[in-house]
Amino acid sequence: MQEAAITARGAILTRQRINRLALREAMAGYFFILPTLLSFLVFFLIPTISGLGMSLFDWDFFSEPEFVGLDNFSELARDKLFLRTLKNTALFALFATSGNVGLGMFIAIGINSIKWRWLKTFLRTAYFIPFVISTVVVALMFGFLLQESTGVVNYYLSRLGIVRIPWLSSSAWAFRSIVLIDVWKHVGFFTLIFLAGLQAIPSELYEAALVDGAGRRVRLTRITIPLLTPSLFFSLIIALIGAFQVFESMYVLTNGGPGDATRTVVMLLYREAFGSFNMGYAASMAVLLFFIILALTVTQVRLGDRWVFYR
Amino acid sequence: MISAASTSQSHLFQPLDPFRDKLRHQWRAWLANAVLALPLILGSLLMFAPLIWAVSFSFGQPHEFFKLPPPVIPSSFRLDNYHGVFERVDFLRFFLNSVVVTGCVTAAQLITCSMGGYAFARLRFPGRRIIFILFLASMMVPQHVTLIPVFIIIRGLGLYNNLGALIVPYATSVFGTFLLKQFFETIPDELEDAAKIDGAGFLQIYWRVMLPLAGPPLATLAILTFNSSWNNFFWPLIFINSAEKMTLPLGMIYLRGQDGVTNSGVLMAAIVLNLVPVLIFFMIFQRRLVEGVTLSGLKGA
Amino acid sequence: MKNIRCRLILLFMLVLLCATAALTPAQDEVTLGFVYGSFAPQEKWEAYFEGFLEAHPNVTINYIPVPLDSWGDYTQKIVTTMLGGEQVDVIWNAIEAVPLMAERGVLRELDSFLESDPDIQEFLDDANPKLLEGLRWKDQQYLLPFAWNTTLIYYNKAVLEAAGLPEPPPDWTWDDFLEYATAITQDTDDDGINDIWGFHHNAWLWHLGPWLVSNGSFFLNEDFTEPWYDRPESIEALQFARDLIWEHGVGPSGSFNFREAFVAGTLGMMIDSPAGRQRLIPAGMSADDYDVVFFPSKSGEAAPGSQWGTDGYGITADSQHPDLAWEMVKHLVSVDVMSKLLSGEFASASAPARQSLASDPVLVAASPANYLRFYEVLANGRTVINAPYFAELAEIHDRYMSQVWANEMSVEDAAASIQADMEAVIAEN
Repeated sequence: MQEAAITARGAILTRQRINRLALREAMAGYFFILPTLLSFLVFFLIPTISGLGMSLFDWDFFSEPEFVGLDNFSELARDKLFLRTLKNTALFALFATSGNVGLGMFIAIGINSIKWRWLKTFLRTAYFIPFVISTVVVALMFGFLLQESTGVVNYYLSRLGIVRIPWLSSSAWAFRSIVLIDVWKHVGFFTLIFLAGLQAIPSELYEAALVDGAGRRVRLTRITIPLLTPSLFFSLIIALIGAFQVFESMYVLTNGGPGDATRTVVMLLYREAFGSFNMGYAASMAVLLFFIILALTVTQVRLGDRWVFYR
Repeated sequence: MISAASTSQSHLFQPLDPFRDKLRHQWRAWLANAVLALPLILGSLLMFAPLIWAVSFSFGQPHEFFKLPPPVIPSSFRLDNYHGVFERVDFLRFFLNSVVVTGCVTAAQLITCSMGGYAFARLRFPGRRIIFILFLASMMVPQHVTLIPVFIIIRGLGLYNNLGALIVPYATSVFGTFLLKQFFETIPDELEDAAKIDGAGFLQIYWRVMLPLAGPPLATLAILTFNSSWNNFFWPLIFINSAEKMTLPLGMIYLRGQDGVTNSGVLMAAIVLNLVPVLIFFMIFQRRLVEGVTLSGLKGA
Repeated sequence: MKNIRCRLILLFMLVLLCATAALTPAQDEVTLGFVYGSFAPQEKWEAYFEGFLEAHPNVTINYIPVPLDSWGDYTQKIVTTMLGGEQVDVIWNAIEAVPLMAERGVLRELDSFLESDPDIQEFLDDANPKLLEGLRWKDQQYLLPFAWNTTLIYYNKAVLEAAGLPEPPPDWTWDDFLEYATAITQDTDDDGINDIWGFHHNAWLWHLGPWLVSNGSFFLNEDFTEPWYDRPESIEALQFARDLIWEHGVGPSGSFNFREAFVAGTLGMMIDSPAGRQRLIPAGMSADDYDVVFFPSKSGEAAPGSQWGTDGYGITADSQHPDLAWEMVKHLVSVDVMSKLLSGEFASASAPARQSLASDPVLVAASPANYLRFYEVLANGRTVINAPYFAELAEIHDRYMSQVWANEMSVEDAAASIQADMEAVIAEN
């Protein structure tokens, strides 16, 4: 009885001590996350919630906001220009993502199978360099090189017997050029991610495969590619999220034209917000963009379970 | 005879075989390498070609831009275009603004992200999971959703057309916090326990135990932050309007607007002036940068 | 190990330092915010305020440059700047934006100043009445005119001479023009690519307007309530303009740095305004190397026409110091400041709004022989589109005409689409 009482008291005491310690730890925890949390609240959470709310209003910054419910969204569904930009953005995301990720993967596999170290390093560096140059500079540079009548690129193409290409002045080509420029800038980044994935593949697997007499192609399709799927999965997700927010190269190079061939959702959003001051309408575009990105990411994660090879 | 010949032949052949085989093997390996490397090398030339042309044109005179074939090596190394850049805009100011903004953002993120990462990794407090999940979810939200409210907040803080508008919202990052959290979780408990026995508080543990170990991920974060901050264009486009507050990317657009793009050479010179510091930075931190991207890629995967 | 911490401390201090530097506000007695187009560097605009700052030593000017890609973007950026909390007092802007800025309540009407300040009478007597009138909206004056522009065809004399062409006659026809452009266009080294081009123009309003005016039409009617893209004269003129590039191949397609090419002697003719000389002089072209001529008309009989626009200075509605701002505007339209337009060495080289400066020797010396033709088309020309919805109209025009210029749409289809879209915008407003 007595003994039991003593241990119970001890337990209470230690519990109190533990509580005090836990409290101290919790306080410390809050202290350490305070800057991040504060910034998160002020520049993310509150703006996001008000952004979501704003999409339900008609507001031009000058007069009182007027609640319109989901009108902005139903207007979006009928807005031909918006649908066009959405289509452009989706196509851009499709082509830029497959270009960046696909090419990045092949370059990485190529670089990885080269035996000379110096060449490996050189190639890795060469492909990565454009990534560190700002998009604006890249766009300005290509804008000059890709001029139709006086551009360098067309000159050399014409020497090769290829007709001059209206790189930035025809609707179809302007769109392609922008995808190409995007791939030029970002492919090295994805190459690096795949190279990292390749290095993580244990060499024993290849050795075992060699013992079994597996050829190059079998090794590629049975070992390399399956084991690269996590990198592929990650690349696809971040490439898509990035591509849906594309803005700069179009803004600098074509300003959305010719016609609306290269106008993206973010360009339209920027103009609606800070050009026409249709704040609510612009907010509804952003919200829709968010839901599209969310849906794509969730779908990818769901589908990823089926094809991504986890060890 | 026949058999003798065949035996002599095989006799001749036999001892050399391993050597030849090795040679042949080496030669084939070399060839395979070269065949593989060739398209990759050609591709890498495509990466360099625009840069080389930009440098070449930056020395060119206006009339040369219409000369076909365009000269790959400029006919003269006149610096007129570079003078032109400095005549038209305060390029040095753009550069310094970029340095200040990028420096502050990078420094601030190193501090806030390491603090946050430490807390999420090693401290227990109510709401930790929820807050962290919220953080992660925010990575998926495009910044355009927050654009208009942030514009109003920035205006309220009096930061419009102020370098602060480019620094304060970027003073911390979810990605960085995540990166550091992942790292701090790998640190063995013994190190922390030893410090606790010595009577160290959490601040001391963070400062004395955790940070000294966090060099590599901090360097990674620093370089990635530097890169994205240096190249940021959308934010300055909205929040900065005076030339003296512009960072390099916005300054480039500003330069392009000067006297109606009369001189492509000047624009090319400005592009080269942009490339040089970035490429120097890249050469110095190449390995770290590559590691950084690799690390972030692996973490994600 | 310690190193990292030391560095972090240093970094932290750096952050604090930056933050304080960034947050410290400037303290001045009276600061007037002045919005200007950033196509010219600040020093060149500063030159306009010589004398003003001496007369008002308590005033500091906060120069607020705004990029000028189009008047629509420029105006929107000004509004964003003001929404951002920047104090703006005096605005430099153009006729296109007057209705929009007036309707938005950005600008203050100037009539009360014009009535109460006798000093301004001298300016009102001197300024071109057409410009003054153009900067009014709903019977109120919003800007005082400073410099105006219209477009003519510039030709490079040396290029014409090399092609064996005499200087073009002022009453030339479309056929004459095409002959000139065809004669100039040449592939000098026979590599299948033209090295010298006859003419260049874009699908911009500013480039196409004169073709329409000289064919007896325009983009819209006088008060911009009715699009005229469906008129046969409009379609005919647009078709001719388009065919120069795609039918006759006398002009390059795609983006083309025409001013640079004009200076380099690889472009014979281009469209530019009086301000154009400002870009030619520093590039090493003197006023004797080129000249200007009217746009050709179909038959050669129509009166020379073009479109014109003007800029000016106005005061914001929320200026805290309207009286000082008015002094500033008055200073900016004074003879002294306006004379700085003449040489082309300051921010702008457009034509001065004061009639007394039209034949100033400095202007004569810095202008091509026939520069008075600009004044002639000002008398006959149409005003650029200035309606509250001008940015929307411009966007519609660009959307379809850029496709015509990319040879992806016929002029008829584009004109029909523009007509319909513009009608919708006008009906909405």
